[in-house]
Amino acid sequence: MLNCGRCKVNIDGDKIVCPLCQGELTGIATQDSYPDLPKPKYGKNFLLRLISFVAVAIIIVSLALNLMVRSDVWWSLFVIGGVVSAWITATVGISYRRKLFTNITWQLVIVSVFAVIWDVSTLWRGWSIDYVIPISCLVSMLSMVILSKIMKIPAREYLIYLVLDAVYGVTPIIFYFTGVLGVVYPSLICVTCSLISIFAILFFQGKSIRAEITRRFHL
Amino acid sequence: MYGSIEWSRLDNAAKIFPSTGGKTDTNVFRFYCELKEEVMPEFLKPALDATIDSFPGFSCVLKKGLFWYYLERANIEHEVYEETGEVCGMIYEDSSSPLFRLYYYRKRISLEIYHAMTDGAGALVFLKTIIYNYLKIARCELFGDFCEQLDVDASFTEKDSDSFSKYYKKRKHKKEPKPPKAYHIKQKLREDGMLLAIEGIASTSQVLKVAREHNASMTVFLAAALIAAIRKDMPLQCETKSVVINIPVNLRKMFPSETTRNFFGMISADYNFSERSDDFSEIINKTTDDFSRGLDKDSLSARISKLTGFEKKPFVRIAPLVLKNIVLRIARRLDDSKATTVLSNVGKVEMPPKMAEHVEMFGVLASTREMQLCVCSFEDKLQMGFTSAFNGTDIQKNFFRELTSRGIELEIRSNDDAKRKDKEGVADA
Repeated sequence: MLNCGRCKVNIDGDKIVCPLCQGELTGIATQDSYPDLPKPKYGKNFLLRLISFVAVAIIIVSLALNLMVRSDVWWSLFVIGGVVSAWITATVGISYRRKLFTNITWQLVIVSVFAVIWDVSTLWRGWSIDYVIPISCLVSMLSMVILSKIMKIPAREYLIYLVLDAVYGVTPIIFYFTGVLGVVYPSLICVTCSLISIFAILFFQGKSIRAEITRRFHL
Repeated sequence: MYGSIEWSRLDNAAKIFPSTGGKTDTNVFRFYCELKEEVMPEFLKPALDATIDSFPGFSCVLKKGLFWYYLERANIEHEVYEETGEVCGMIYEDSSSPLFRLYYYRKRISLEIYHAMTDGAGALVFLKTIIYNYLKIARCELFGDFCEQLDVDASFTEKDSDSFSKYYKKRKHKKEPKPPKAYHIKQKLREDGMLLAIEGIASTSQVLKVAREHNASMTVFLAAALIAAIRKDMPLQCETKSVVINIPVNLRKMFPSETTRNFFGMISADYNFSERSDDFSEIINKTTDDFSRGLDKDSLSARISKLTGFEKKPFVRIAPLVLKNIVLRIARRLDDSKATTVLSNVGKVEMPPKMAEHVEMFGVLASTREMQLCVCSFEDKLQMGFTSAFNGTDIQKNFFRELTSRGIELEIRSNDDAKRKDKEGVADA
């Protein structure tokens, strides 16, 4: 065993200097009772930083190009809008990558909001509420059901998200009755499916959904 | 599973942990058991599975509700890992992370556990059961069918119960005297964001003898040595501030409980070097006084009621979790600022005699934002484990020299990386 003459202690392992006073050691080195320290994790969130950097770079280049090639249209604003939307979607997707169903729910919200913003800022044609909201709602509900079956996830893990999604899927009924819809079929199909899902969950999974609500909302 | 409850609220002490925490302050602590022979990892996993069967409460995840965090039973596969050299690294990342990790390295089996789930006493029962099951499986030729039982006698609901609520009683709170201004260790933080562990291993009887010579208990003696060690590192201009040492106490001894959840209180000892002398015996006397005042059953019970009473207030209960997180974060900072360091003495660890023959020692380490000392003993091996977020090692050096100068023999272990690069000629321990 190693020995530090100044601290008057025995030292375990194969240290070069005394862990206490950093002084010289005498004696025979043995195997250390601790393995080597791992490399510090600087690489954390590298993907997020890469995506953010690429987004910023695209914005700068498109602004510069817009200024160089004179045109009457500020087309770079559309590029920026697209980049920002993609960046937010990707960031949310990456940070919730380990929670599949939370992720799907958030993506649904993001897609709906962005679609409406784009629609409004490009002379409202109504495609966001006619198609995007009902279709994305249906897709997310369907993907939750399929994914949970494939990955054999127990009901209590995803039911609350499915319910949120289905409740959200009923809202297009408001658009229908206020008469803002141009095309009614996607919205009506979405509302029908959502209502059926809600009642299916209530009849067959009522107990577990109540239990989940008690857990999540306990005071 | 066995009719046990599927989810549970966090106990009073646990509520602070998920909301707080940082790079080195991961709210994780480690218990390890060093065996006399190399660990055989292939037997460790079955031992862990068998242990979880008798402690189903440990197989859970931490989830966010709208108002509080809660623990939910989960059927996750718990793996065993080889140690990496990092101690008390992050465990709780999100609602899918298991709340403990089991490691092995050479002769050592280490359990790292998230503090929201249990405290030192609970974790120790869990680790002892793992060791018990491991020895039973790995050394079946020695133990056969006959095996002395561990001294664990508690039903699932007893293990899972919140003892803070059990001993909570509504009472008027006396105004506490203003705590002294605490000195904070002034050193640079380590760059890699990992904790530096330095452990000293001594003979229990030798340390106890020296402590008795000073008319002090083991914990008081070590606390006094720690105060003296910090004193030597203190700049003159900080002398008006007190060295304050927080000491967690296991409440199960005074308030009977079989819970494996958190059930600890906190007492503190302080010493002001501008008002008192540097004499070691005076430090011991003052610390002994602070201990007996803190360990008074009535004042401990008052503290339980005060903290539990707070969490039961209606306006606290209906505040959304996001808001609670902010408030708890600030409260933790304020509480931390009242103490210089923490000394946690887990005390004597016991194993059934036949199993004890195969165990060399037990040890304990805890995560911290600054520096912490944890102590535990097994037979004649006393382990004192410093964890520190700082680069410097002066306080650890002062502390251990404080012991060696009184004739105590020490072995030092550390996870620092000042090691020989060429491993040739390194003898097998």
